Amino acid sequence: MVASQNLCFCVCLRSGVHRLRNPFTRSRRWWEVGEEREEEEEEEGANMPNEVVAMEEENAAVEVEVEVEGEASEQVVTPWTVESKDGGINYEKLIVDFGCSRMDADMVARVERLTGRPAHPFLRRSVFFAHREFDKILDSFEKGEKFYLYTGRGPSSESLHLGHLVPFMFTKYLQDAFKVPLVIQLTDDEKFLWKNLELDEARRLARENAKDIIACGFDISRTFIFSDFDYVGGEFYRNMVRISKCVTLNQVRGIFGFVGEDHIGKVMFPPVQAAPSFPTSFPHMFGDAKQSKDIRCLIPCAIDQDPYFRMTRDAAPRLGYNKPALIESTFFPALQGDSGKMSASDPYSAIYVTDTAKQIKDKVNKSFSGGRDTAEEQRKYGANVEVDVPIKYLGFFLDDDEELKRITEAYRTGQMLTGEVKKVLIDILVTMVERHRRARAAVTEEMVDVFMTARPLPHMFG
Amino acid sequence: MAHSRESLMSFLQEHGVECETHDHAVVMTVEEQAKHVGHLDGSFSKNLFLKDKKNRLYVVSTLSTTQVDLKALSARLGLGKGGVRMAPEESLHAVLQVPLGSVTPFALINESARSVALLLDVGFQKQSRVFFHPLSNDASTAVTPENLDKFLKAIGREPAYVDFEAAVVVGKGQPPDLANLVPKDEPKGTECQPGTAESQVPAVTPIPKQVPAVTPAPKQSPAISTKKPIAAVSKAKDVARVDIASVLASVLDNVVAAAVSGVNSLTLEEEKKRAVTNSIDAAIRLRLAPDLESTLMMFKNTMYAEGFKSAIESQRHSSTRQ
Repeated sequence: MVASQNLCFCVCLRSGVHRLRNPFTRSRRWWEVGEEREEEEEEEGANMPNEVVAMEEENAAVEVEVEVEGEASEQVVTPWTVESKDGGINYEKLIVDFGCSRMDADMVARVERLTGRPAHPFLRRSVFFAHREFDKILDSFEKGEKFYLYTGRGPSSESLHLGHLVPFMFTKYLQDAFKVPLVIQLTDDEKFLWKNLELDEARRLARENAKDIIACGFDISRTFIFSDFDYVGGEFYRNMVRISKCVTLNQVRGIFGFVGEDHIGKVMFPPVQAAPSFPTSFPHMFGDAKQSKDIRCLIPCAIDQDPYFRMTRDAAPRLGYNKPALIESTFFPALQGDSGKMSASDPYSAIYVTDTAKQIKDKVNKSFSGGRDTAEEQRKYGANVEVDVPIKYLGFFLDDDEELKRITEAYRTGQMLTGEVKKVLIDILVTMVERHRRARAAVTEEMVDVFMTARPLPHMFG
Repeated sequence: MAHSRESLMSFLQEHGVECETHDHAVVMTVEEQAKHVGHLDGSFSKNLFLKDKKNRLYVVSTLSTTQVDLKALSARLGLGKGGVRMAPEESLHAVLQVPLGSVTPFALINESARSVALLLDVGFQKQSRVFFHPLSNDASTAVTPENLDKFLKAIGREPAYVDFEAAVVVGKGQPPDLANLVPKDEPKGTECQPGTAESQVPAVTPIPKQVPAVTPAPKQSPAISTKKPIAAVSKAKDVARVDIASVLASVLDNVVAAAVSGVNSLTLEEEKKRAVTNSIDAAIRLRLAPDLESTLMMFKNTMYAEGFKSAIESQRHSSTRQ
């Protein structure tokens, strides 16, 4: 036992990724794009003895097989940890490791054709770059069959940053383009179970986060937002129990790293996240099993959640359900670049939706730049656009492809200075954040109540 | 299926519209008509078939002695100066379904003339009888004003009488007094001419500057060339749906059209005007579109929520009353 523990520990050291904290108590769920660490977990991690850490690392290593095979692994991507040694995440390798598929230009063109509108920049720029059976969704859509969208948020804090908004912005585009319904799960129960939160505080945060989500522009006549504490029961609960019968304790240990000392609330939780993948969980929207048997589910999420939905897809056929399809995104970069992590304790790591124009300007100006140290050198040698954070952010938020290409080239060849690029980004971000704030202010308590009421949605398709 | 003189006559008889018809040779003018039936009791009408710039059609029927100033009429209809002119012969055949020289209020019995407006001379009301052609100009039918109204009501129309000789000022404080007589729908079966100065800018997709591209690098210049019609606009039948995308597109079109017409009214060179309007178009669509879309969606959501709450309340209220 001791020997194997040491081996595991050595493996981890060799890989160059050393973790002093217990990674398994952090519960970054699938829609927390790019959120690398949250400080509350530090206090929990500190209590775990090292042997346990090492043993869990063995489980982690088993989960992501390729990385463990004796050679130095460059990156670790699991539902609870996203780390890379240098140069950022290798997404090609990740797709191979996970066994999902790459989105290609043909698929993007097909989306444009089927929806009759230009594809979202996140699709064109390969932010959402991987998928599982998205082609089946397109096939069935083309035949006139129906599908719905499922996304969500773990409401751990009141303040959201742009990285949190990315999956919602993309989901809104999908809803508008395909004209389909959407369910949004607020996992207040999960946050209560994993974090140092009072139950009522978790519920309050869920409702506050719902307002920011609504401000992204979802259509109330096609969207159902629910908090687990309010909604779980009835058909949803029956699906939870059916799912839980298909997954063994060993499997969840492997995926989530549960150990003997964890409270059983954590073990109970995964089926809550799986259940929304099946339309029978929402009888007020999709009816019973017979009525909804041809309705599929598409889940936009960050790629680190892929192992988790492998579990859900594994259970689906055994329950006689369609497997949910996935469309997966890269991680949202922290302002300090690859070496930094987005964390609630460092406001300079991300742009928050509550930031003022001045704060946005400050943060962008302080962000990690690929430009040279002086204007002369910049003009002479140009910038390293691979690592430049403002260019990466423009890749997310500047809609015009031509303009983005022009700026990137000009910056790379030294015709444009760092300050100029940053100014372009600041303008875009200030406009975006201001628009979000205005929309958020227009969200009434009444509107939240109705979004979160289980009601029939007669016009949710087409 | 056009009515003939015979079917018109049986219709009039069916509905108790009294009239007296006299056959004669084909007549193209009031003078000729008078030669044949001038000895009988009845005043003569002159009948104009007009169209406006939006291809809406009008039958203007007046006493032969009444002066009709088309320019003034156009202003009073709210169509500006020179907004009406004689309708083309094709419309006569296609819509009124009568031969040349036979324009008559009786032609509105035809289904195809459903959206044609009818303006009658207030002078008719003082006459004992007035002569109209019964769908062909080789006869003249005399009716009393009351029976004319009876006929119009029988075909489901409210008679509209106009004093064509009144001097009505139309301007900033005085709205056009006959604007309510302008037909609401686009006429069916007429050919639409390509846009005039007032015509609407074709609908565009809400996302500016981009066209669906098969290749990964679409070539695009920020100009008006990105427009393409959106199918959503034709959803007029589906009354219950509020399609944010089409509302957004039409609001943007109106804003752009207003701004562009403002620019065009300036005294500048054509290329300068074009440059300015292009840049306004791009700026409006780029900057305004996302903000406006957000506002519209919030508005829709607010209204839906209010309605929902109200319905729940009233259900609760009515159930407690039992």
